[in-house]
Amino acid sequence: MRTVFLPVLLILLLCTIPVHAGQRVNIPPENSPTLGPDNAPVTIFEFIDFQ
Amino acid sequence: MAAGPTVKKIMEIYKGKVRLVIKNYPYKYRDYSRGAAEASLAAREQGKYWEMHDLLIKRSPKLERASLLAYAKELGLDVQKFTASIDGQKFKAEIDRDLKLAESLDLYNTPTFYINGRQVIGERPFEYFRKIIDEELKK
Repeated sequence: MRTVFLPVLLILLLCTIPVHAGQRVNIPPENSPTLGPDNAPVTIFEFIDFQ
Repeated sequence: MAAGPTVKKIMEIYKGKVRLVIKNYPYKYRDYSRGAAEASLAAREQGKYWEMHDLLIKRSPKLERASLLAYAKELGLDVQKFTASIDGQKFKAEIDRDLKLAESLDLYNTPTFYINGRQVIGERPFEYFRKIIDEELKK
């Protein structure tokens, strides 16, 4: 029984590790330069340095 | 740096489906970063932000004051108004606001993108963006 229980517990623990790649950041557009419709399904924020 | 041609391609191919928002993150140890950001916003004031944006990317790193004034002239801007704007750092508060935002996000590289909030660091090929955008459009 114990030999089955341990691997199952390990798998359950692995599932609880947060996936950082899935994190989303909320950025306010404010009055920054914008291209494309305000209600577009995808918004891309680009942080730029011209130099 | 800014990912000019790739972003342009995205905006053409996903026309109407993608909104692009530019935030300034001028690196403090580069001589002309801040001036170029001021120039882009000074051009916005005269309705030619994207024209100046494209020109600055194309001509970078030639971004010293004399070049910026020449670009303003090339784009048919009111050069006197443009000069007063960049010399007076008219958009300092807006650039500082963006900088503060970038710092709060712990950014260390330009360009950095957020696609519906998902972070992409550095220049990437179009296909990389396409994968993420297509995923977002399916949601």
